[in-house]
Amino acid sequence: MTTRWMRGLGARRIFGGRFLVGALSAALFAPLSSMADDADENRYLDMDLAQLMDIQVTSVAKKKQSLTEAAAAVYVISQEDIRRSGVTSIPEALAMAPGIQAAQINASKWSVSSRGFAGYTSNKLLILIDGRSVYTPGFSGVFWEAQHVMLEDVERIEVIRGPAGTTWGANAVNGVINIITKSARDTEGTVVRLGVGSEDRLTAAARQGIKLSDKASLRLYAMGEDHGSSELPEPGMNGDTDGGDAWKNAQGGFRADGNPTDNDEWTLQGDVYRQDGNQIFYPQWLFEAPYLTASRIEMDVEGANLIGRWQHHWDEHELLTVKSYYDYAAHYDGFVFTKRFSTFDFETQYETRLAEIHDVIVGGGYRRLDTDHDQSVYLSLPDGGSNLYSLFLQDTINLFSERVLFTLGMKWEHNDYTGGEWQPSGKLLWKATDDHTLWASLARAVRLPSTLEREGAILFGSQPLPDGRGLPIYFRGNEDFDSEEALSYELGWRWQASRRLQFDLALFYTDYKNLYSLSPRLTPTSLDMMLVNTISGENYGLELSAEYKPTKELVFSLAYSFLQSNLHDDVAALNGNAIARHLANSTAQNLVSLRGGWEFIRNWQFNAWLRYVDSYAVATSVDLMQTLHTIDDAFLLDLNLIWRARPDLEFMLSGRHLLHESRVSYISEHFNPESGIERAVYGKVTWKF
Amino acid sequence: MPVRILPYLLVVACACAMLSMAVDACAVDKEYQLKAAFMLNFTKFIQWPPVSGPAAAFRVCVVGENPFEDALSAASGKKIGEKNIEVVHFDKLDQARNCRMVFVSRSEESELDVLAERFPDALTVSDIDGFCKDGGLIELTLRNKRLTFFINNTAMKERGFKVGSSLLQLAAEVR
Repeated sequence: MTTRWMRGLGARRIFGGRFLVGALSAALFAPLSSMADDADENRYLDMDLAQLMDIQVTSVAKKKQSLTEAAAAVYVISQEDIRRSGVTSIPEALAMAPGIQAAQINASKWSVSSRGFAGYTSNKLLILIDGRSVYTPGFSGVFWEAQHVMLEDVERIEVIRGPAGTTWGANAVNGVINIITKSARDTEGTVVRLGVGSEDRLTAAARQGIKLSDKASLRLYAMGEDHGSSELPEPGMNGDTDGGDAWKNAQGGFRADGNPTDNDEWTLQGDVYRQDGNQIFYPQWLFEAPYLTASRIEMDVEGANLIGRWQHHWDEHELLTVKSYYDYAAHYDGFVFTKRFSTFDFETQYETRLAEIHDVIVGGGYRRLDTDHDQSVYLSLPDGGSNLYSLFLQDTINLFSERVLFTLGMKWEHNDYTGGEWQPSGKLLWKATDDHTLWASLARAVRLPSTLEREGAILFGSQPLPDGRGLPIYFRGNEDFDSEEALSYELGWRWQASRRLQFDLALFYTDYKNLYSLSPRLTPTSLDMMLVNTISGENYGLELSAEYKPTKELVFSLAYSFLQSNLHDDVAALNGNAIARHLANSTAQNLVSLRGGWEFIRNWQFNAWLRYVDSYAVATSVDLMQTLHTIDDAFLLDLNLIWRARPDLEFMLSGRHLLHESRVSYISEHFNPESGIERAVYGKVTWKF
Repeated sequence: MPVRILPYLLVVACACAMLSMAVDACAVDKEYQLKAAFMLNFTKFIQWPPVSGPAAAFRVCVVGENPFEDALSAASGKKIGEKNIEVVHFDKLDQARNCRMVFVSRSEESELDVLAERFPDALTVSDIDGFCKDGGLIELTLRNKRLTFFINNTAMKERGFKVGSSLLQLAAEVR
């Protein structure tokens, strides 16, 4: 039943059309009623205190979940952090967080990973945009080139490192990132932004926020971007160094929020986007001489999504949430491949307090994924549908007048490949004093096999045979491929030394089992590198962040991460420990980020962001991941100047990657060649009224 | 620009235009309307320490980003004893002068350590978490979705404020 209507939406030319027009007309015909009372009148002024103390304040009906109460390694990137940093994309912003390695592969693609395991398809980090998962179960990973958000409307980005499977479900093995946009209630008014730059050639965005009534607000936005290409370190096929990966994106959407009663809140939001880009397809294998070549192909993306959410509060502790979304995404990689995904998700959660000290949450969810792919000799992936069911139970026991919180949680998830998976966790939080919080956590998380790892194949090489033909080498899925598992032990300490200075420290040790490796198998027609679960080992490390505001005009933020990864392949095979070595070395051992902001004259702000990235290694499919290529350690520097000319008008001049004319910061394991990210200047004007 | 998305963008643009005609720019956050009313109410229960020199008006200062919009200015015409209330907004803490009551906005959170020194004889009020702990006199806070307050009575007494017992009884916490 679900399948049929999804296929209808999934058809290429009509996708999104009916959906978007429907959503917009619903928004247009929503009652634009009742202006609020005269602004000068505050009807509460003449009431007495006892009366006032009985009035419900709706805007904070949610139970306040303060950061200091989470028994997890959490870092929050605020709207102010984003504004001051001058970043133009989400992955760039994520580099502010400790424990996260965000490395740009080329003009549009990124490797973003948490606590190790970097890669274009870095597969152990779950990403949610307003609760909508953008992790691709077909390939395991996030296609960052397709994830764009109007940064002015982001409220915050929560970066949770460590296993979060109990709360967020499968694939949150090493963390989950929640990108949260502002409520429409907080975006009334207009924002127009226009930027030009050497790499971000032209970016434009506009948002209009509207108060529909006392109880509902709406915003609409549209944005467009035109990005230049990266630079090849060595001249390519045509003898030029153009990375051939310029891209353009056009996107629009809406978000409506309302609270029809003091106890109910709802949200309806959606986006539609279309991206036109190019890329160099390399390595491209041929079955005759010269066996290896490259092609310039397109990289187009389109998609649409719609999210609905409703919450009902009975009181501070009792809350029911119902959420559902539909997401469609299609990627067109020239003659190489076309992949189309549609996801339908439904989740519900009920929280209540029992026996005065137990905060209990029960939840359940269902997710349906349908895929429709065009195959080619380079990549094959079956079409099909899969179902994911989940149940969730958590109890937080509040002890010693809520100074000690003990949380036990369990998620059970059923998927079509490996059946039921359990992801339990136990957490202890101790608010030792008002300024010191200590926490400890033990949690298990799993990464489910992707469609590719079970049933797909990628052409990974072509070995010349005596007769001149090439023997195809495939990276091939394995129907016995199992879930990857992690068991993680964490300790944390948060210290609010003063209003001006705070520290956050997390230590972790994670045991991994059943990580993927490749095992060769010769068939009559090909050499197959089969996916097997033979790598195990451990990662441990620490993450430290500090924020210091010596005066109102000055702010410093420090993030430091250390990671040690010891992985070994249980099966010595043709390529021996190559995959394990690559996984263990894919992330910098030391990462430092120091940001400083200084308002040196009223309304003039100078911001600097200095990073140190230790060396790490990449490997590519060109030689079956055999050789590790080192990316040398480097300092990276971004600077910008912000001038708030009027309360409603702001200018920014920003320079990024200033210390290197062009630098390779990551190389895709397959599909794209080594590309350098160039020094960039960028200017923008933002008008809010 | 890709052709296929143009119609959608046009629809969005039209919708923007139509809806902006219906924009409703007024309406202040209910939470701050309530907070303004709380502040006005406090004056009924509190006796201020005498100040030197005649002041024409009872000045209520809002320092930092103004979260009230107009919710507090409606108090301007009202009287406290003989004096008219005057509501004045200051961007920065060190600009504020002659205040009898100061609302410290959340934007000034990092400035709290100079508060007592800066306003020795003004009633400091804020909704910053831990305001009383950091030397503020009255902290507005939310409990069970309702607005309530903490009083730092020790500091009040030290500075010569007299707090009516009924206000102390209404407070969620007295320190």
